[in-house]
Amino acid sequence: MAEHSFSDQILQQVDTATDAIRNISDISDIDIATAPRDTVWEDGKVKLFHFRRDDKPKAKTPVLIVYALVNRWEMMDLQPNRSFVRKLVSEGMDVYVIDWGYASRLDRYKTMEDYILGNVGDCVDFIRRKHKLPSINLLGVCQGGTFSVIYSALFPEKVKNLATLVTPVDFDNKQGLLFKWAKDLDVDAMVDGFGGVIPGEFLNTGFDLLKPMNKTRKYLSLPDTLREKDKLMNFLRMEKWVADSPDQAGETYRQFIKDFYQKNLLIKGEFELGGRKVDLKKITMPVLTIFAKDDHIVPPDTTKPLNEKVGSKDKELLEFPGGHIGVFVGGRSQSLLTPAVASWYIHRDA
Amino acid sequence: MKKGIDEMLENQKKAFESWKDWTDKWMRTMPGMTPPATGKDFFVPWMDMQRKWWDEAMKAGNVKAATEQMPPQWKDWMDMQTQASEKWMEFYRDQAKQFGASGPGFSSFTGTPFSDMGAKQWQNWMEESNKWIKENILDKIPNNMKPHYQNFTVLYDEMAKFWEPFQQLIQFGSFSKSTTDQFFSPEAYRRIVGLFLGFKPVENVAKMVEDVNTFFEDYIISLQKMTPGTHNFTDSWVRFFRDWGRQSGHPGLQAVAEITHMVEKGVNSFYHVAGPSEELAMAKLVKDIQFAYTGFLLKSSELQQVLMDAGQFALPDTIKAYADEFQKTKKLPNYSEFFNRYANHLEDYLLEVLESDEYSVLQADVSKSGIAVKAKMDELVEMTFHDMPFLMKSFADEVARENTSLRRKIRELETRLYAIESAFTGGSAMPKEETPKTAAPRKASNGKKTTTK
Repeated sequence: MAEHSFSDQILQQVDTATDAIRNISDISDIDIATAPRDTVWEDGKVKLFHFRRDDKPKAKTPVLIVYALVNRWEMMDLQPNRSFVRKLVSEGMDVYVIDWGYASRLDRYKTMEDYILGNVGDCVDFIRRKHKLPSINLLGVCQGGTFSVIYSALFPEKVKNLATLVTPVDFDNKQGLLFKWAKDLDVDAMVDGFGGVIPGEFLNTGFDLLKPMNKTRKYLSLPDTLREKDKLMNFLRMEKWVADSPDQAGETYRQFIKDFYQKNLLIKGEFELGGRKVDLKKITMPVLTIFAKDDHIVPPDTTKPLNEKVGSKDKELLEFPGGHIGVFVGGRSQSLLTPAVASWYIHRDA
Repeated sequence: MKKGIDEMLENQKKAFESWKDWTDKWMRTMPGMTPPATGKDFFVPWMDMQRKWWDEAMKAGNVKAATEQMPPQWKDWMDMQTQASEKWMEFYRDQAKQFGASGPGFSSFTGTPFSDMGAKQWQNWMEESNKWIKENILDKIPNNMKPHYQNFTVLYDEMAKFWEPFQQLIQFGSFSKSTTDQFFSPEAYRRIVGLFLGFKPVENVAKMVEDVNTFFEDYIISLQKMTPGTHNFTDSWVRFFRDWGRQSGHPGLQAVAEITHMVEKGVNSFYHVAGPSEELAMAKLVKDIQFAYTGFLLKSSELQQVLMDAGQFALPDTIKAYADEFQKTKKLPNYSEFFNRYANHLEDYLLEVLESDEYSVLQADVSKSGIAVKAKMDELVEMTFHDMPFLMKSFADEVARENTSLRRKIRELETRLYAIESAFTGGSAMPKEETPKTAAPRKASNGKKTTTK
């Protein structure tokens, strides 16, 4: 039997090596975010993309996706068969997404006010104007969801329906390590010491530590990954996305950590932006709050309270069975979540 | 070329079949013995594999391209086939010896003399293939992910060096920490865990502090050479730190940290009496960097120590888990399974620490002290090159401030304009069609909208 095991192992290795070499040799480009789109508005580094569609959308009200400043929106369109954006389009939505670009030292004094009242506000106004609509749909993702919540509270008349994906609003949380660690962080020392811009690599190091062996497991499964071209491409696309971690504008980072992670002002109703208090009760439009059951980056308890705090009568909590990233790229995201989100908007489009 | 490899395979097959016939005949002469199926089972897929390999090479279009794209060892591939067959021949010959028979050598079938090559050649081939795959995967992943991947490959190979003793420990059911420590020394453990977490473990804190001091002493001497006016100061400094270095061999990190702090205070008073000059200001900054760096290293060592302590039972636990299974199944895991399980055990232990309040505070301290070093280094660079025609960070800072301020002013003006328009239209004004910072869709050279596909 031992000989059998040995020969089996050898054959397996040869097979793996052959497949791996073939698959690696075949790769020319590792492309992500390939859904056809037009750049319809830009202001400095910030761009607004409009995704093309061949037919009329089922919902006349378009949806604007507001992604986080951390990492890039391309996760929403990682590859054709794992694309939140493509799926939304195919389900009948007219889709826009904000590309924040890459913050540099020139953006060190850019604040949340600039991002939310400035960039988000400008994009919302652009789309309203283009479609001649008083209000549009918002879809906020993670930190972008927090921005969307704030915007919706300040300008409820401009937001028809608000959906949030894995969006933190209650930052007093013991489950999430990021929430715990951020409380002890001397954010002034970090922002000033880094020269006003927090490197993306610094953030990635923090994310890695949440599950310290994730990288090891990822590379350990490489032999299997290499045997299948699709798996290999998934792996390489994900590597590309993870590696593409923009730096953070220091003042925004400082404010986000202090006001939210450390003081939890948003959920307490004490957060102010541009001299105006952000009252979540002012959010009266329909709200869909989506959380991921096994999210270790933004645990469910940080997202679910939004549903209780908003003033909306039409509100819904939706649990996604998976983790933070699975919400965008998992099989269930394509088959269940995205159609459900599209359907939610379409039913409220009248 | 394809004809060539087909011929080679065909000849090899003939040789192998002759040899197998002989084995079958020989086995039948042994009462009660059944010829093992291993040879056939091995050889048929082996042949298919070789063809597959060759076909893939040919997909590249021509032999030259194939050679460029395939691993360099592909040229040795044909030799490897024969060597692998030889290995199997040896196996059968060994079996035969157990029954008092002696089989013919492989050369009887091929007419080729073979030396004692065994599994080594095979192993070499696999290693070369793996190397090629590693390198080519590395080419495809983003630059800032490469160190992680390289780190993993080093880690995996390093740990493999201990795989043989680990197997023995599993078989013997020896999993106490003292036993595992004999095979997997604390130094080896530190190195492995350091690789897992991506940091370089500090072996000897006192020596590290001494090295840092030596480095800064050398630095300040070179500074003195450039700025002769600081002679007295640098002499005093070097003396001061040599004296301190002799005292700094205290075992506890806390003690070293306290000494550092005391010395820093002492040196500060020295600076207070010295007169202001650019050289002195730079020297003072270097001194600050020295202390900040030492402080960072000490904090960092403390953090490492906490993590190292946390994970030390992961190996005994892993070996125990497999030893228990071995008692029931008599089956050993393969190295990859073992490695994965060890990583999982290690993660469980590390997370216990990562979730603690103490770790959170310590990590924040390490980050803060690390950033402090960087900030002071930036300051020193700026001070050193202040009269050069470079745009320094502090100037760029002014530009950034001005830039943000202008953007805000534009936004305020837009808001006011919108309010005025709304007043004229009875509050129904849509946002303004064109604004100073709202660009129309860019036109590409073909006159169409900018498009990304």
